[in-house]
Amino acid sequence: MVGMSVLRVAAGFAARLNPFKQGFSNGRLLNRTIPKTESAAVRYGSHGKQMFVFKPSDYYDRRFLHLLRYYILLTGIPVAAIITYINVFIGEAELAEIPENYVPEHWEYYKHPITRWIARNLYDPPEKNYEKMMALIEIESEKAEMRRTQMDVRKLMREKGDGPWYHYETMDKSLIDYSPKSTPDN
Amino acid sequence: MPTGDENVGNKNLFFRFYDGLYALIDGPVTLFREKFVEPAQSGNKLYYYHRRYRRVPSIDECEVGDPICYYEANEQFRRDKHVEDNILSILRQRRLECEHYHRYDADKYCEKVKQDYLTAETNWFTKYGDIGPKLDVRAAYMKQKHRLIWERRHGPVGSGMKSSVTVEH
Repeated sequence: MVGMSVLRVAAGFAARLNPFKQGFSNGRLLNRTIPKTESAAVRYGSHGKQMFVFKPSDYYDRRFLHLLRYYILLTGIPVAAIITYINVFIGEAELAEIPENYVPEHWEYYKHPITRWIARNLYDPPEKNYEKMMALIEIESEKAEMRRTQMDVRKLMREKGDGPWYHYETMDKSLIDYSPKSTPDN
Repeated sequence: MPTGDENVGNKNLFFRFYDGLYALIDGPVTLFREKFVEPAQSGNKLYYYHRRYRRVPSIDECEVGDPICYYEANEQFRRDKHVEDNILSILRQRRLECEHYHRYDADKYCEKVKQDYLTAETNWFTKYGDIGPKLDVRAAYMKQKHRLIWERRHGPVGSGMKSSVTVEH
C-alpha cells in the first residue's frame, strides 16, 4: 500500500515534469488502473503473501450439515444394510400357479419379502375386512328394518287402538261409587 | 437392451459395438447375480400366487332389500371393471406400438389392431361410461336397462330416435 502511494506520487511528478507527454495524462491519474507491483514474474516457494481473510462465520452452517448427515445416516445405514441383505439373500418371490387342493395363506399373494412379513404379522387378511364389512352392513340393515317396523306398528296401534301399545288401563267399573249422584236431591 | 436375437446371423459392426457396450455394464452385474445371489436364494425359494375370486350372484340376481348381496355384487363389479380397464389398456398399447412401428405405413398394416381396439373401447363405454364417479353397480345396471328399453323403442343405438312412440310396455 505504501508502494502504491509512492508510485502514484512519482507518476504525478512525472506528469508535471512532462505535461505534453501522454503517458499518464494529468487529471485522470487517480482513476486509472495502477500497474501492479508484481507485474514482473515472481515465483514464491510458499503460497505467496498470506492474507487474513474476513468472511462471515460458517460455524452454524457446517454444524447444521454435520448434524443432518449424522441423524439421517444413524438410521439410514442400518435400514439400507437390512434391505440390501433381504433383497440379496432372501429375494423376491416367484410367480407360480396355485397347486391343486392348496389354499394359499393370505400373505402368499405378495411378492416382496418385507411386504409378505407385514401382511403376515401386522395386517389383517383382506378376507377378514370383507367379512367385517358385510357383518356391519347386516347389523345396520337389521337395525334399520327393525326401526321401520317399529314405526309402522306404532302408527297403526295409535290409529286403530286395538293393540297393546297406546292402551291405557281404565279402572274397574265395579269400584265406582255412585252414591253421591244416586238420588236426585243429594 | 441388446440388439436382439432375431438378428443373430446378421450383426453388422454397429450392432456388435452396441452389444459390446451393453455387455460392459450388464456382464459384471449378471455374473454377480448368477454366481452369488441365486445360489443364496435357491435354498428356500418363496412363491407368490395371483388371487382367484369366486363368482358371486350379480346385481340382477339380488333381491330388492338385500344389502349384502348388493355389496358383494358391487365388489365383483369393481374387480371386473379393473380387469376390463387393463384389457383395454393392453389393446391400446398394441395399437400404439403398431402405429409407431409402421409410421407412415400404418394404414396398411394396422387395420385389424385398430378395429379390435375400437370395438373394445365402444363396448367398454357402453358398459362403464358416464355412470358417475362412484363405481355403483346399480347405476351400470340401470344404464343397461334404459339402453335396452331405448333399443326396443327406437332400434339400435346410433340409428336415431323415432318421432312418435306409441304406448309401450
